[in-house]
Amino acid sequence: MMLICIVLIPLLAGVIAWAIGRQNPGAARWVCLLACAIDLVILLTLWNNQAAMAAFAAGGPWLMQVNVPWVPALGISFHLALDGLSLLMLILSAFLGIVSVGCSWTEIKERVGFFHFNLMWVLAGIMGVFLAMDLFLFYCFWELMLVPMYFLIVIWGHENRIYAAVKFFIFTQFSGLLMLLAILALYFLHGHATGTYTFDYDLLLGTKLGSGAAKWIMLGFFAAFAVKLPAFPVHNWLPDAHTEAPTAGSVILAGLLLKTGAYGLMRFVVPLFPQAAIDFTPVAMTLAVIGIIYGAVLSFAQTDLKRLVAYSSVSHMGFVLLGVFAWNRIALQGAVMQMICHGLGTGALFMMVGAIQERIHTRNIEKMGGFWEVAPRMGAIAMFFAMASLGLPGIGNFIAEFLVLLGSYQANATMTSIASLGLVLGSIYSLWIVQRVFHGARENQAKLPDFARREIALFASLIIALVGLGFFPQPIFKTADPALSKLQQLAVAGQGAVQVSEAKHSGGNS
Amino acid sequence: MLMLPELLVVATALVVLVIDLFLSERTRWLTGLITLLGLLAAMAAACTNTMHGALLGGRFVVDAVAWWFDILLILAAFVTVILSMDVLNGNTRVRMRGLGARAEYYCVLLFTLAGMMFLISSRDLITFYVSLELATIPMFALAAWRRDDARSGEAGLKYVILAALSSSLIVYGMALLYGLTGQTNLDAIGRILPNHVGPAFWFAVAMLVAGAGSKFTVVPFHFWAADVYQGAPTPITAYLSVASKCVGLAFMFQVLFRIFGGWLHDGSLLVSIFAATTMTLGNTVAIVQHNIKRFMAFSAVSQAGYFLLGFLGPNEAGVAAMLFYMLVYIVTNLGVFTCIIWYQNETGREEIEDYRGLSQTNPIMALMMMVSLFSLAGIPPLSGFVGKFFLFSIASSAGYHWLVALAAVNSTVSLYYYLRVIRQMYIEPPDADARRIPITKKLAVTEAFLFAGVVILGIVPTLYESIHADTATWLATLLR
Amino acid sequence: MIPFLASHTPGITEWLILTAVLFAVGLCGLLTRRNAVGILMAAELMLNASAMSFVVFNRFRSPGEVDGQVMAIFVIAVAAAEVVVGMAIFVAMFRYRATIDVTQMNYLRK
Repeated sequence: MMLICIVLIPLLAGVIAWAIGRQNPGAARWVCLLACAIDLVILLTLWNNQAAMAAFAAGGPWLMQVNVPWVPALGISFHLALDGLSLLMLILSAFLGIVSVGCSWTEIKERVGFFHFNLMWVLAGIMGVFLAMDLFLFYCFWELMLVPMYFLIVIWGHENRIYAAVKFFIFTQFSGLLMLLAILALYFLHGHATGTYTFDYDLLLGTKLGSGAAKWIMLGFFAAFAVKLPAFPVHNWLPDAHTEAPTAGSVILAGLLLKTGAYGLMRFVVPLFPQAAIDFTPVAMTLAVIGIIYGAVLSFAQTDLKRLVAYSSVSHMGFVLLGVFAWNRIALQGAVMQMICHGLGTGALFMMVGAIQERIHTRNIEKMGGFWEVAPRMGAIAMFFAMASLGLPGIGNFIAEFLVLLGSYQANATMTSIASLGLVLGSIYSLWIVQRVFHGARENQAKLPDFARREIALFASLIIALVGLGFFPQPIFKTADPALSKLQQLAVAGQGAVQVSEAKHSGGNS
Repeated sequence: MLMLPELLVVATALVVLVIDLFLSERTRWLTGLITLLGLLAAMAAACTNTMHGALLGGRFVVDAVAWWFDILLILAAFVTVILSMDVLNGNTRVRMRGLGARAEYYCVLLFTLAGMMFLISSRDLITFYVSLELATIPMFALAAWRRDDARSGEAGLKYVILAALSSSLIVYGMALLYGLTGQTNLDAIGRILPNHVGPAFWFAVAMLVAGAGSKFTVVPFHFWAADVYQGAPTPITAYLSVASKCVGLAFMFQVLFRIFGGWLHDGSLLVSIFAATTMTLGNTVAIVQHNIKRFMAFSAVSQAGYFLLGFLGPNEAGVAAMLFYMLVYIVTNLGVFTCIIWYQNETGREEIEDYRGLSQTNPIMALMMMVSLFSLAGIPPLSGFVGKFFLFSIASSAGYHWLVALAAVNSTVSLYYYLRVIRQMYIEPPDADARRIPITKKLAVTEAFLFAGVVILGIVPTLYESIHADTATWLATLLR
Repeated sequence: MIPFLASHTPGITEWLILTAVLFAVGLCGLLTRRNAVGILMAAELMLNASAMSFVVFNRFRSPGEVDGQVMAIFVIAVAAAEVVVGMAIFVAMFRYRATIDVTQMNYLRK
């Protein structure tokens, strides 16, 4: 029941915000803030529930779940379930939900109610994705994220918003449909083989597939997740969408939407198709490495500050892809950590850009410089997040990237060595931002008020979170570990099953 | 009383016509009310009738599928009548010219409905043909109802010619079937036909498929749709897009399952090609339309392509999926058309661009139209997605993965053009002098109900379960 | 010629060829005519060819039954109804546009 509430609260808050937004925009903001806060509190209590954690670590199926039949004739059920991985992602979602409501407090002035409706519904869709354990339901939530996000970009976005929104829409929608195709194929192959037609994740695990079928179905899932992640050849939508979206949209996009891709890889691609995923590993790792280097290199070429941050996202998410496909304990822990830290850090950078743009009405780096003199608080905060982005020890990102590299070094040393170049490049562009924007001569004479209390509070919460993760990462590891090791066991078991079945059928049928 | 719903519809048609003689111009709006009551009675009669059985020496049979079609058709007609009332009563801001003769309008509408209901229940070439024509011929008149509007007349004229062509093909095909088998009973024909495969048989197949395709707007037999949809009075466009589509599906059921059931499995490839071309062409052409009615016509063509996926296999899940999607499609499409009719009644406009800024002036109507359009595009968790999902899964289980992939691409394309309308409503600013457009209670309530249907059918698809349970054995008796 | 016809009763083949030819003529007419009334006449020809084949099949396939003849009567009746509605629309159209040339029918689509 609790799990349904988690998704339902933002949905309802969105509707209420829309209803009252016209008369009373302030109330709409408060309702949404409150909804996210309630969600966060619920999730933190769940996190604090040691007994459930221990039971799960001891081999229980889920921390918590609801499973009611929905369309029994087709084996569709309303199955929401929570494990450590989902829990961490949900906490991140609720937290960034608060942040994104906060950062649009003054930025959004038109159609406030509808804006918050969309914001809350994206959030609900994302939370649903992290919770759904029925593939049909998963797909529903997956698509639920899409339309409100489209509206966020297209109504409150910047100059080139329609192009960006349509591009975002077509990339994600099409890849989502490929996943739908894969889901259907998996459903029928499982049904033909076992006689039970079901979309339930638990039951579909360990489906014995021929290697050919497994490869194609895996690719269908991979396509959808790679687009969201985004991995190298399909990252194209991201710079446009991030750049054109309003600040809150960018925060949600970078902080959460991208994580659904990574989460999908961990939860579905590898456990459901272990053998196919292992065969695919070299390709995936290559894509990851290309993404890391390519994203970092392109960051240099940008004059648009927001675009720069967007490309750095491509680079950072490459580490997640690398970590997932290295598929060992250390790398996975690193990937989870990277997801969280990137969500917080990049979210903050987007807020920074949003704040600058709100003040001087441009994102062009050429027109910035010397901001430190007039806005020292802003400069210091920006400095911190630039350091986070380059992976300064003591900040969460450092641990994340370090663990990913450590783990994937065991899996593939060559790839890892190349990927670590990304860190070097990352530190260069991060410092470059600070240097160009905050030091040097004042180019722009526009008024630049320093951060006010609301903004300081938002950034402070993010800084505290990141530093906390940097010094005390243990709770995260402890929470994620049982879930991750379970996923690993599933993958190993599945791999064995495939090998057995292939030996039996000598090749299997594709 | 197996035939009670049909009889009630016919009786209402006659009653409306007669009562009209005794009504003054001021009380003539009562005819609409009587029509609605008659339809309610027919709906009640259909709903309470749980019996299946045959009448008239087996020429009229009510089975599970026929029952569901009856319900769907009455629903479509019921909503259409409500949508027509404002226009016919002159209760609109912009006066519609040449839409008089209310009683005759309702009468003719009811007769088409009766024809449609008889069609799915008929088991005999003669009743089959006559009910098909009863469903079609009055429709010409409805399409051309606005006597002093050249576009309406043109729509009627084109409809007459192309429908005459398709009915000639159908009759000639039927003649060949009769000649081959010497039977007029559809089931008997289906049973005997496998012994008579030859050139004449294939000729009959071609003619019936072309005829059925034209009724169901399957590419390349869809020509009539765009012009007729655009020219006809808008409530009739709505009726054509749902009831006519529904009866097209019923016709396909009769022809493909009952007569050619034995070949349907081997013919799957052909069906898949028709499905592929229909959805692709419908979608591609819809992108460039400016007139919303014409736009909806091509959207309807592409939807027909999705329906065809249900014939692949063939299996009982396909039957249930098609019926369920028809229900969803009727509710959703009428939801869109309610908005279109309302907008036209109040402003007289029907271009997509005219909808700009609707979300600012009439946020609730804009929301309902948007949700309906999203449902047509197949966005979860709306009913359109669930319905399409069932159809996709039929094609997928029949092994037509390429077709599902194509259908998926088409869904993306369709989303793009439905978004064109939504963009006008939500993103373009309204005109400077735009203000809230009033809405009559009838339309508001109808739209609210349809909107609820669009959402609820998606979230709680229990109706699919009941359709599935009802029709589970239907196909087995046919494909035996 | 005359003695040949006198000594030969046409069989099912001849009759069917006749109906097929009529149907084909109707189809050609429907596709090539520009006058709407001409098109309607062509459609009539096709319907009547079908009605005729029903009668022919009835006569040669199942002489004891009357199904085909009944069907033929219905086809004729329905065709009449179709013509009535069609002509009514054409007349209304003619009054308004002073032409029923189908190639001039291009108000729609604009």
